[in-house]
Amino acid sequence: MINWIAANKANLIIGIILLGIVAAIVVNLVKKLRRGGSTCAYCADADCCAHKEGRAETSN
Amino acid sequence: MGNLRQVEVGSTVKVVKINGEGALKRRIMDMGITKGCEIFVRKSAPLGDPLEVQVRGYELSVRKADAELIEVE
Amino acid sequence: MITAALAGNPNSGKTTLFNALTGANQRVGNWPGVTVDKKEGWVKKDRSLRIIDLPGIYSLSPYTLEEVISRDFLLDEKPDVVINLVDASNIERNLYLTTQILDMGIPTVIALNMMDVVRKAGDRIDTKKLSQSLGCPVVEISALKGEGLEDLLREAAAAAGQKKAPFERRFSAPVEQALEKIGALIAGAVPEERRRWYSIKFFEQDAKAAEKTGLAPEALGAIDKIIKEGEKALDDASASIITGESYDYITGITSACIKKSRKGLSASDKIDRVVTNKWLALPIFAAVMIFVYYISVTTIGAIVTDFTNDTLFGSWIMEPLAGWFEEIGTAGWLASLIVDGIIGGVGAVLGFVPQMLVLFLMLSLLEDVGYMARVAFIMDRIFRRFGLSGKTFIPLLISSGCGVPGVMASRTIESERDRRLTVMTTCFVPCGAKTPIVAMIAGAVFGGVWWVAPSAYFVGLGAVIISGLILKKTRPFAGKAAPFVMELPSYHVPAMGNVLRSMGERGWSFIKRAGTIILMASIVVWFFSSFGFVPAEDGGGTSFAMVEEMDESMLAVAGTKVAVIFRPLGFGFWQATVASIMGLVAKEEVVGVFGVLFGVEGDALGLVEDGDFGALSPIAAPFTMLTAYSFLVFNLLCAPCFAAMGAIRREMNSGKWTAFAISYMCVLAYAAALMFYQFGILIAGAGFSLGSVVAIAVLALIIWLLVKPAWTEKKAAAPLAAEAAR
Repeated sequence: MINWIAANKANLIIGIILLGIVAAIVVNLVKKLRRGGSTCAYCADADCCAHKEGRAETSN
Repeated sequence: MGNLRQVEVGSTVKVVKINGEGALKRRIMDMGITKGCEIFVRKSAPLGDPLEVQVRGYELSVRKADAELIEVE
Repeated sequence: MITAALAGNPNSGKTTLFNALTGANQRVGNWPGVTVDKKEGWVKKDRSLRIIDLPGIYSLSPYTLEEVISRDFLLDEKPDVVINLVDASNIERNLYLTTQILDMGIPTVIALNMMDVVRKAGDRIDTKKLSQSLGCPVVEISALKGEGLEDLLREAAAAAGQKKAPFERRFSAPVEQALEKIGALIAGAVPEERRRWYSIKFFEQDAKAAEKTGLAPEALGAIDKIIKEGEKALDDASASIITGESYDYITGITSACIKKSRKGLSASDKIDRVVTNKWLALPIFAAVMIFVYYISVTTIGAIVTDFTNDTLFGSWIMEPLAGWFEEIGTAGWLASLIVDGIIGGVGAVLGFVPQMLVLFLMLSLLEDVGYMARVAFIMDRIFRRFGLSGKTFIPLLISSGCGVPGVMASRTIESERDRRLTVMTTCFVPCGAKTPIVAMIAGAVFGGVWWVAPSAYFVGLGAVIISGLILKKTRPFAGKAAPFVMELPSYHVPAMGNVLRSMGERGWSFIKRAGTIILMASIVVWFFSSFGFVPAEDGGGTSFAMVEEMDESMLAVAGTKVAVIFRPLGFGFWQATVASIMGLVAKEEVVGVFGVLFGVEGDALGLVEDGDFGALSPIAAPFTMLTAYSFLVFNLLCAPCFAAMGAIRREMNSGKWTAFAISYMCVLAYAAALMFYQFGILIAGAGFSLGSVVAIAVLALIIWLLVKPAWTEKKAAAPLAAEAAR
């Protein structure tokens, strides 16, 4: 067992880091989904809402 | 007498009355087209519609169908 | 804590002023009950002053959503002061809103913007006299240059403290008499300082205001009589009387305070003589869009992207990382996951960020300068045929950035039919996330030819127009076109600060999205494309293991089965199928998938570097120019990403309509790509086949849908004709 850990320590470290990143992302997405409704979770714009108001000033 | 649609491009006319109802009429008036004001018909859009007019110092785009509601002289 | 409301016409520089005053201390929320944004912020230097940015409005009449929101805010939330931004180069129309605000009796400060434009034109405004006539402070400012802001804030704070006397304008005698009578009748039902305002509203027959007071029917009847008398006396409808006299009042003031100098063409008019010229306008529009896409995707963009893909990700990151992994003895699959999967996918997408940024920069410059209003003016006739008006043009504009806010922007369209139509077609416009797909195809397959990128834009635009024309003739959408009265604002130098700031914001969120959603999707794609059921070494049965050839992986096997649908379109191989499907997660993921599947072949260290496009040129291998373009067309037009679908669901408020919208997009995308490919090979010399026959049938169907008479066209035309004859 300990041999296995020693032999694979590179894998383990990298794997844990990777899992950590993925977990953080998932948690973040879920938080956003719960808070603002689904659009601002995916949206490419952090200002996805703010832009509408700015544009509405142009015409009409 | 006639309506704004019939006015020749390049001429200046005076508004006599605005027909129509509710939101459209209100909109036209809110934008400054009121009884007695002057309108200069600058041009019509490349595809024929809408019209570009100058009123109270600024440029306004008005569709010909809506321009029919504005009586001028 | 002083609360100030910022009110003014659209195009008066309100956003610039708001940004200048609040800087980064802004917050975007929702006006309760509607999806129009409420921007509020705190003044940079003085955090006790809160500013609410009201939507740009021309008046406070209760017809459009923005007007109702603003009016309700002023009435119910009772801000301490109103900062009314007035565009001095357009002063009469701007003052109209001012009179309505002043009528409400709220302390007001006028911020007179764009005085530099006025001075350059040679006109002069006597601000002291103006202030006297209106009874409130007038502060000259330049929102763009940030001048006069301190004075403005000082005056605002001072005004906020006062309990201001109601605005002293007088209407004509018959109106004043009527107002007095009405005022007596409503005295108990409304707050004293608002009585005059309510009297005016009642006289105008403003239903919404009347509702607020809950007056008894007898009183209402008496008021009606008073109104009728007034109308008879002045021979006009009551609301028109008020509006007309308001403008007369304004003209009275401005003629005393303003000296106009020349009566020639303004600079904007001179420019418009060319830009909206009968013959030049459309070619100029085409040329501008071609130029924009050419510069952003094919030249500047491509250079930066090449660098990012080849050098940054290729040499600087992937190679050393792969080497390091080998050194520390990382398992092959883990190294592959990280290098091929994650970095391959995310890197491919990030590589296109520069192009997206440049494109976005140019589009928002065009808009800031005022050109897009001209486009709406020129194209209105076409758009009118399917109910598009000034208001429905905005979502299309916004969608060229991202479809989600574009769809949400249609919330302010009052007509439900027009709103549905807009929601359905707005996603055809190529959004920022689709740009990487365009750039990838343009670069890898077409070697950076100039016309590919602009053509993508016109394909999207064409889809919008054709869809509109077809759908407007069908029953659910038919009807009179919405009225269209739109201001053509003067051209002005763009506010670079604003533009660059929002470009930066968008770029940052794009990168964030790459690091999260794209990263996850890339892992999934990597997994399913690296593992499969391969025959065990001893020849009996299959086992689950890493595959040598991607074509044996689970993804390939499943993908090939589905890929059959795409054979008539020319790209019936599994990688393209998988990419298109992953496009549902996020459009740029199409590129991500290709990055994972083609980025590195087998050995992590062996990056393929031949071809102009460096690390991504393997993508070109399974495509021909024809099939690649067909692929592009399909992905440009088909169902949008999940986020956009969610937005559509919310706007349509009906599962049925949402399903219809999305199916429509997919069907159109399929038909378009089908026709393109089939006619393409036909022209290239291949003989007739079942595919060609189907393509011809589809084309015939579309032509028929375009030329058939509209459903109620005859009925709708009659009332218009009757009105015109009057």
